[in-house]
Amino acid sequence: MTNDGFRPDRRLTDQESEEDLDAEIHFHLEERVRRLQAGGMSEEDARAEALRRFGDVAEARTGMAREEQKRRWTMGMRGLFDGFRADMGVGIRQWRARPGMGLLALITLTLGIGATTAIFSLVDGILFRPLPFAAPDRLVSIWSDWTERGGPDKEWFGYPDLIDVREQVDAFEHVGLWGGFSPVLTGMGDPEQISGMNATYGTLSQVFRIQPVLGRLFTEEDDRPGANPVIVISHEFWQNRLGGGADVLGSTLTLGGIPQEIVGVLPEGFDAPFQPGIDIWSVPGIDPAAVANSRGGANWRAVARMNPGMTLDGANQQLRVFADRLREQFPESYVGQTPVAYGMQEDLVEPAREGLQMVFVAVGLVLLLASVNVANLLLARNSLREGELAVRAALGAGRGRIVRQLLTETGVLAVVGGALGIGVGWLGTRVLVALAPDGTPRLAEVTLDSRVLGFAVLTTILTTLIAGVLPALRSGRTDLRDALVGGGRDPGADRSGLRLRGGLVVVQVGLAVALMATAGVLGRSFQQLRAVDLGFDASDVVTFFVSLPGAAYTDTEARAAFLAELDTRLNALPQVVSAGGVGALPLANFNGDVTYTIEGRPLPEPGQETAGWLRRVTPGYMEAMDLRIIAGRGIDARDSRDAPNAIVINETLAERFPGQNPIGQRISLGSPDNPLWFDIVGIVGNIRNFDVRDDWRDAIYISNTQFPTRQIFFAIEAAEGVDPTSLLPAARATLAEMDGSLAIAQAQPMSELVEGALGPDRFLAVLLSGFAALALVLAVVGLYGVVSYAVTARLREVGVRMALGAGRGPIRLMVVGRSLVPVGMGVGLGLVLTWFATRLAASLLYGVSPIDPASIAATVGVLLVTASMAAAVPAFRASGVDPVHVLRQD
Amino acid sequence: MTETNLALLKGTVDLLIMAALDSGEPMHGYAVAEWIQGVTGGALLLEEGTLYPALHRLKRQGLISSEWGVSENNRRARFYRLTTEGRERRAQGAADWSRYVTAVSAALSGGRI
Repeated sequence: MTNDGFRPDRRLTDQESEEDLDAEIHFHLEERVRRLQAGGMSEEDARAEALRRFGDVAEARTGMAREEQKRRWTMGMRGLFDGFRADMGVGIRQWRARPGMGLLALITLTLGIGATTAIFSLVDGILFRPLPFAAPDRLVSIWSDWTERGGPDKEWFGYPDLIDVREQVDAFEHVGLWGGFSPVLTGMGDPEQISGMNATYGTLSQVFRIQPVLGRLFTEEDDRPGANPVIVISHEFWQNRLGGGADVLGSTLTLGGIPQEIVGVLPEGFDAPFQPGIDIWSVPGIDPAAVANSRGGANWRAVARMNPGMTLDGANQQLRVFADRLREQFPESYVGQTPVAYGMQEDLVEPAREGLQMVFVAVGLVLLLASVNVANLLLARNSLREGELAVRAALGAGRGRIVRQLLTETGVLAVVGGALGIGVGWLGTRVLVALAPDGTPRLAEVTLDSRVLGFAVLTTILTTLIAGVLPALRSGRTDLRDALVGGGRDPGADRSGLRLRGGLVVVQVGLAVALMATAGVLGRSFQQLRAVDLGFDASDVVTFFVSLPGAAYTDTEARAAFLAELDTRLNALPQVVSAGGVGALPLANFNGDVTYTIEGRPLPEPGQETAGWLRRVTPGYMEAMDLRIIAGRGIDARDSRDAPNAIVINETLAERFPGQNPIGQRISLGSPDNPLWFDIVGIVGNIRNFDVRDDWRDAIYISNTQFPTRQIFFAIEAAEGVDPTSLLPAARATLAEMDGSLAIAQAQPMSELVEGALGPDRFLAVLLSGFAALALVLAVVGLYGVVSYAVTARLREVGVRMALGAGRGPIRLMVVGRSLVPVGMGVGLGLVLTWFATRLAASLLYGVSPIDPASIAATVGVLLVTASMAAAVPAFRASGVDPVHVLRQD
Repeated sequence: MTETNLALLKGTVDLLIMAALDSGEPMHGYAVAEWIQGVTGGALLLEEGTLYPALHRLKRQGLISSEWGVSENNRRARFYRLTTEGRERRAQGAADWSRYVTAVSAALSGGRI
């Protein structure tokens, strides 16, 4: 034990005082004077001579003091280092002596730190880290707010409207317009749809301010009608598909049947933040003058860079003024819309923000719980060592010294736990990225880098402090006499220690209840979402996307005919129940709003227009998706180009005809001055068009044959028992037969798309359930530790009771009952915490109230049962003691 | 070699102190000064005050140790003694010094020894 760093501290006794230095010089001078006097010199002369021989007294004095100071410092450092090494040694030996407890603490720390690190890397990569572009705080997304006309708050734009924003609003240095497209690449093996981005000339160079690695970006001249078609390709496409050579510049790719010259290659890692995975970029080449009068559309989106010093509020102020002017200018077409700028980062991560915040808070609670658990384990361990620590104190170790040693021991644990935790965090990050739902923004930017490592180290330090300080301070306070007199015979006699540990159990149980109840309510919400009536039947349906290139299908007649024919041929395939096309599949987060008016009704006030989702469908679509026909008929083959314009409305829109039969009435999709009339031919059931959480809203279906689109999704319903994806080869062949330059893309079962739409909710529910389970385990481990400890402490009491005739049953009940007191208090605390936690989750919930009695009841039930089981094990041990044996120990 | 010589020059006082303490009993600073004076026959002009920072430096370096004691005429004085490490260093220093002197002498006498 003498080697354990408890040797008496020599620094104080060995310290030089200032007086000693003076005394040393004084002695020398006196000695010299004495000798000189003995040689016959007068005292006065002797003093003068002694000083002369000595030289500069002050300098000597300073020199001595400086050396002493240096010596003290060196010794101090050496002492600290030796002490630390000794503490480490003791720490490691202590953990080795009780491997079970050490291992438990280590696992707790590893899991706590690992989970926190992984979640932080996700949260940091997505929410906190600035976008990887120059001056990212000046980047904005611009959306069109249609709420005034009953539309969504984030709708797309008409091309000329955005060009006017670029030219007329000073707030922006540049505005880039973009729209994704899916060109078919031919001439390189089978025709293949690739991922394209049509963005005005300055989007890359002026908004994102990136530099090409090869060649150039677009110029204003490229972006004019009739210009030579040029493209810029992504680094990945260049490397993986085109060989990565410099000779790629000047070569051409045939896209949609048109050869396009490659003029540049984008830098590695560049990804359009709003739409990752783009292979090729092109410019729209639209003459704004040619479309100057088609206002209020919704087919373009915008990103912009604000001028230096411009604020978001300032920009939005200007946009409102601009919108007022545009509305005056085009009262017919630009109606009830206002462009709104959002910080690009906030806009991008908005869908993920609340979920991630929730997860971050949850993992923070888990970490706190883990720290408390380790604190509890350390307290238990230290109380078993009370005798040893008291001996050390008796041998002269001060309280600070003992606290320091206990902290070092915790430090040993933290260093190992932190290192393992970072490893677990690294794994966890990869798992999270793999599990994260499709469409999670900025997922490619999630890495475990120095920021995350720094965070992990801070987390470790914080955890060590929380877990280590309380137990260390308590043990430092150990009363020497009590501990020695107790002789370690009754290690749990310390009532205040029990109280403290009971308090920790209250906190643990409270945190666990809050996490479990929140996970419960999120799980129930997820269940509700899964049970939502989507309005269509996704089973047995496979979907894919087809894009008709503009060059070959300029004529609407040709497009209509081609898609109607494709519909017919797909329906004729064996095993196909029904097949049909639609402009946008349900749950694909696509609005596609249209404003409509009902014939014979007074025109709505400006800003009070009625709007709904517009979907163009081919004849087989409604049957393939099993939309419910409520009255009349769906869009079918009768709605040909020669037939009158047909429209099918949904249930919600039909409610606008109270007491009337809507069928036979007319609806206009044009402007009041220039109406475009449709006959209502049927009513179909509501479906979730945009998202699973949609409220029912007006929807309008028109015939794709009458108003054809260029880009269409097909849905094929397979016969029962047939895997719908097995129909894809036949569908591919059918398309190739009709036009060898076309390809199908994005093929997936509709059920997958539905699951994907629930991805974020599932991710959240799964993560939270994981944390809740971890919390439950940690809390139970903590409780078990405390109860075992209390049982040991009360063994004599139990012995006395049994000697006096108490049965084993009542003893067990007493032990379990007492241990449930802190559990009960913890549940109370947990309910309060739950109230706050679920409030945080409120906006993520669907179909359940934040305070969900079922989740809370289940949580409390599970917790009480598990806690009773944890307490029962030591209770049985207590009831199994031999009273004679216990009492004889006195 | 060059480095050793320079260090030796700077450390001449240190070397003399260690030589004094190597002669036997613990000595106080005054006795060290007297010893140097005595053995060199006063050939070295030593400012006695410079001994003290040197003593404390040697102590910091662990080459000598010190303790308070009583002088022959019953005064309280600090006595120094060479540590084991100091003894080794003294031997090494003496050897280096001889080589240094030999080398310099040889140079000054035109290479003839």
